[in-house]
Amino acid sequence: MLTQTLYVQWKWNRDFLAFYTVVAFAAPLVILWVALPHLGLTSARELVSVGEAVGTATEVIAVLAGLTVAWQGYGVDERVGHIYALSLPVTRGRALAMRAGTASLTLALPAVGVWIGAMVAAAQVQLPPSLHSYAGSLASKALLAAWLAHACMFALCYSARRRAKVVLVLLIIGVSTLAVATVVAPSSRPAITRAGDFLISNPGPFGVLFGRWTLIDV
Amino acid sequence: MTHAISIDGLAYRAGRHFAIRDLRMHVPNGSVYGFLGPNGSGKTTTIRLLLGMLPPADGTIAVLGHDVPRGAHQALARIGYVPERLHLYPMLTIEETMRHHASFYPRWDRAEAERLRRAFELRAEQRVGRLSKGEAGKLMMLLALAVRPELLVLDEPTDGLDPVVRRDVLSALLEYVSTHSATVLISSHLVHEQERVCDWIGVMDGGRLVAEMPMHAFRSGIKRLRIAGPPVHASPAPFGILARRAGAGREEEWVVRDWRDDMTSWFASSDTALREVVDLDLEESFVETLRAARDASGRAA
Repeated sequence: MLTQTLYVQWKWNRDFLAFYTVVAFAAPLVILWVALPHLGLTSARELVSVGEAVGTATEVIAVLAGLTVAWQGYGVDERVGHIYALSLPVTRGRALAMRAGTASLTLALPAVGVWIGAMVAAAQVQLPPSLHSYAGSLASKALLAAWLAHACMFALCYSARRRAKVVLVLLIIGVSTLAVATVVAPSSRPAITRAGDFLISNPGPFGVLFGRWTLIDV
Repeated sequence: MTHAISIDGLAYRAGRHFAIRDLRMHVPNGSVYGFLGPNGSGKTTTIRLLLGMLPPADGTIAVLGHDVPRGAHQALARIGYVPERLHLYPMLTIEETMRHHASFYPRWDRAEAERLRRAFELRAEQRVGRLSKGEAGKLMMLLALAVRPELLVLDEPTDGLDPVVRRDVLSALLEYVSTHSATVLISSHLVHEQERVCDWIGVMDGGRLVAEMPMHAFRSGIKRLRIAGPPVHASPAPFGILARRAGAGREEEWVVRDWRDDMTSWFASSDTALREVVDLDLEESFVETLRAARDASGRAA
């Protein structure tokens, strides 16, 4: 059952996965080749900034891959009115878990693309002793970011429309309330800042997206 | 009598204009139950409710002994379902679809699936998204039959199919039912088709089941009577009067249900001449039942 679900998931997403894998592989190389003639292989600071550019590109690719895979999978079900998925003899929870799990597995491909591309790119430059390349770390972050983006889009797509609307409205109300609170009661700022920090810094739920993304660092 | 499907007090609302209210429906084990009704009467919604695809607002549903929607996944493992439109993933080939489907059903009969594929002349490597309407209908019937179901739920399975494909699909269905004693719920607005295959009839209209009875009672019990000098103070009739219309002169035309031949004596006792008893075919019976139900609900409103 799981193997067949994985196979169907692969058939749904293989074009997009191939695209993102190739782009993830090529992005570090292209950025390096574009930047190298200007760098002249001398400045450590400039090498770090190129590494950061690779990191940012990788992050964008990973997030887009996660969003696309979730959206594409949902789109196939949506086109047939979800009737087939609902008529299969498994509980909804199990069906969704299999879907999400197999989609997450397929997202390993772009991460592998990142890893190989980053290693090849890093091998192209002579790094000074103070700098190191972090291809494995970049690939791991890409995988986590793709999973996170996939999970958010998957949850939004497969939740009931009314429930999704309620969540969005609550989110908007929450953010607006916080914005108003910081203006009306400046003393609430530290609490709000702490809450924001929890969300966007490690090990918060969105920490991976707001952390440092770079291929080359000290 | 035990029931493969038992629905009591079912309520469901979809939007502002459509609702199923207090639906009671009982499909006997081993029967071929024709689920009749005009478009938009609630047949497909009822089917989706009994398969656990939609959550009921109220009432109880039991399918093959499982409470639905809670135990829907257990019931679904014993059900073959053909929806009204192609519901399969378009990018898979027929072979891939069969393999994927088989992995969910422990009772999947691989040899039977292959036999049906050949009998239906479906090419294994053909993509589902490129199938004609007839081929899609055959594939859905193949998938429903190859799970060796105890209950087949067919929602307009032959709608839009050409006569040759319709015959192929129906004969595969009848062959399966005759050899496996399965229960069939077949929804359709093609009344003549139901007449050939069904032994029970349920008529749905406006979200209500307005009639449910064995086919023979439906076919032989509903008559059109031509009466001269209708009784003014007749004793209560031993049959149900579905409709009463003025005819030529003092004549009236009645459409009645639960009719038996010995009931002619009721007219003699009330000084009324029963001129003619006309048999109705299933379609006429269906239309008269609907008309009577609508008149009754109009009066109630």
